Amino acid sequence: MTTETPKSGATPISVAVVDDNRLIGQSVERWIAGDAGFAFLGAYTSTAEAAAALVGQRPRVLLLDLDMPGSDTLKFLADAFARYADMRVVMLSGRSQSPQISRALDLGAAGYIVKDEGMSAIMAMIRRAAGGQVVLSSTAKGALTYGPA
Amino acid sequence: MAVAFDGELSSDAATTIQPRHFRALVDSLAAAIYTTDIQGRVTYCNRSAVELWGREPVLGDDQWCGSWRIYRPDGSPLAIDQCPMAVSIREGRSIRGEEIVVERPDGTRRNVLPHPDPIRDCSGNIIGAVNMLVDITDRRTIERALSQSQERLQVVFNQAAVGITLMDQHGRILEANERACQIVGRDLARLRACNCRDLVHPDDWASNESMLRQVIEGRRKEFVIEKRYLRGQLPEAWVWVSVAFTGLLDDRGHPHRLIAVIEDITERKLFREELERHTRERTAELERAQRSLREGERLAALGTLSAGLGHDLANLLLPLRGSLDTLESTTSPPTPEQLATEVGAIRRGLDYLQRLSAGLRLLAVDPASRPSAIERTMLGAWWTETEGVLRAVLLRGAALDARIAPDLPPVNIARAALTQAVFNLVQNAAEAMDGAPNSVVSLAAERAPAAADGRPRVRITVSDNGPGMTTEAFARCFEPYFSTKQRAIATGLGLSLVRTHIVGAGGTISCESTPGGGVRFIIDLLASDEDVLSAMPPMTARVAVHSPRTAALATALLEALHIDVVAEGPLDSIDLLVVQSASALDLRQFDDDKRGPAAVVLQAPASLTDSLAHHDRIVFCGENPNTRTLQAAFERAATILRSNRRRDDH
Repeated sequence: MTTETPKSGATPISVAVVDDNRLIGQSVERWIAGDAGFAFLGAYTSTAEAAAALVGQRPRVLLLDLDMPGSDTLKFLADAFARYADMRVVMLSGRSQSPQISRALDLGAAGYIVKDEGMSAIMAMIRRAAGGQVVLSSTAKGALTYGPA
Repeated sequence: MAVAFDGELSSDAATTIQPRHFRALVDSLAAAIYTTDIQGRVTYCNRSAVELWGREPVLGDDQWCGSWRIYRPDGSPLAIDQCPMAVSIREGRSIRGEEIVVERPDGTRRNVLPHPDPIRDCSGNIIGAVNMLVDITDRRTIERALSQSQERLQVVFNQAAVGITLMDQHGRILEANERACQIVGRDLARLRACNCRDLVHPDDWASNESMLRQVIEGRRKEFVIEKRYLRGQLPEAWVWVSVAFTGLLDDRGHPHRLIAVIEDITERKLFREELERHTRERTAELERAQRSLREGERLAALGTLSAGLGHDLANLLLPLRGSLDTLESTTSPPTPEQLATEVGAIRRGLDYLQRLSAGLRLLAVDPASRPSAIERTMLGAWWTETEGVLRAVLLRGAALDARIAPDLPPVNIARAALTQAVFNLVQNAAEAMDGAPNSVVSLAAERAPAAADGRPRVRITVSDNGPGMTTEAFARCFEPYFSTKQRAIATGLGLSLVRTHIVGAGGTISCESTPGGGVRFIIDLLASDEDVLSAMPPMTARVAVHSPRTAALATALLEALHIDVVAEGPLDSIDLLVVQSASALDLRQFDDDKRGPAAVVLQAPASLTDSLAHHDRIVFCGENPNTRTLQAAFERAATILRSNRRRDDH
């Protein structure tokens, strides 16, 4: 698949991050700060915090960590998928077990990115998810298919 | 033999048969014949009479008959002058149907039916009598045997531990023994008023009826069925029975009666169910215990691994921090060369960390949780991922010497299973050498001789230069729960699990041990025919489904399987067509030989799935597909296509 380069004047893709590890949010924010094709909307450390923020403004792509203490992320995912049709939720997780990936996709995730991916590849996948595609990082693909590494 | 015959003959007979001829005829009859005069003195007897009596009477002297002694059928003595012949002469009448028993001089007895008739002269006066004695001893013997047999049968019928019923061809109960009455809780009169259908549980009747009909129609001789009978009248009182039905034939060979032998198996059934429940519970307990032991084994490994990882990470952190310090402490901006050197060092560190992370994930996966996956591993890429973890598990001082031959075909085993197997072997080797100087664990992967069916194989060997195994350890090393380790959580499942992983993937594992010369494990794995596959052009698919979300998901899953998704192009250039329902397919395309595209139908009712089952290039996802069923369907379709391509290539 090819990466789309936003045309000048096109609306930047708004991105928010939900991860209890603040470093992840900061990394994403720093990386897209230099790209006019993206706009960073915010970083939240729990699903409750994110749910409250989404009432006001919603990103086009929400990166959601799977494992956060005190947060039922899969319920949050299902609710967000049902409620906000214009928002794409992409899982961003350190886990790469096939059952978790399948479950997230069943609940409406627009993709599954394992955190071992490089930042530029992550940005490309965010663009594709914003365009309506379902994206899988290479480790997620490997976990799903168990094919040649 | 002296014979005299003075009987009257009818005029007709006299004209045609001469008396001497007549005498010869009577002499030769198989029936015993004799005559007496009016005083009862025997005047004639034939050979058969002599044989019956067992003696030759003195003609003109023996009276009434030639018997030695005679008895009534009940065995009580009968005076000779009371014999039927004497009565016939005295009373001037024929006597029929009065059985007597004749005793011979040798003591043997014969059952006899006498047929005495008076002989009259022309004036009608009785001048004597003729008697025919019919020997019915054989008949009586058979009748007695039959009667005894029937008595025995009746005893068996009444006392049988199983219930027996006799039915007509309509299933109406004609006879039943006591046990049958007990089983169904009804007395004989009430049972006789029943049809067998009245006794059977409604859910069990259909199968029972069809087999009964086959017996009644003569298409089947017998059958046995397990079903429920109603005990008594209570609707909830069901009893489990095993019933053997046999058809009885009439004279024309048609089944006209049915015999049912009924065994009450309620207790056996309950016992069996109880046993099955116990077995299930014990199996579940065993599985839990195995899981727990496996976890224990992992925990045990975790200690060693953590120590190794801590050491490796510390070694990694130092240069990383050093590179960052260098970049930060430079008073002037770094030169491009400096930048390239330090960034390169940081990136190498990160690459290592990434591989370590991948390797650790492979150790965490339970291979048993992925039964339907495509299980192929490229050993070169696998080694890159797992090298860090495998080195981390070595104790201090031990080296890992790895030689992975280039251009090996992919092996048929899940990466996680292979990683865990090799991890166990390397860890065992490292522990056996216990940090001795110059300890080396060697890992080698190379092509092995082909399997018996010609399929290529790859051999992986893990060896060490430690002390080797004891004879007992060598003999038992693959047994579950056998361990030589002294640590607190030594479950002994390590090598047993290794073998489970390898054998489960269709491979073999063996072990060689030399005292003082180390241990060598040899794993032979089947390899994929990758040369053929890699030479094939990539597969393409077209996704034609309504829902954009489903289309996007299908596309992502197909790409994960290395299948290119195209939006348009002629249909004959497509390998796989993904459609919402079978109505979108031109089924004629799937009728011909194996050439042509495969199709995955996302939604199909079970009835349609059955009717199109003969199209082996159409794969169905079921009625409510999810990620797993979609992926399984794509994998299945890809397998079919690959197999067809491979065959075409050959």
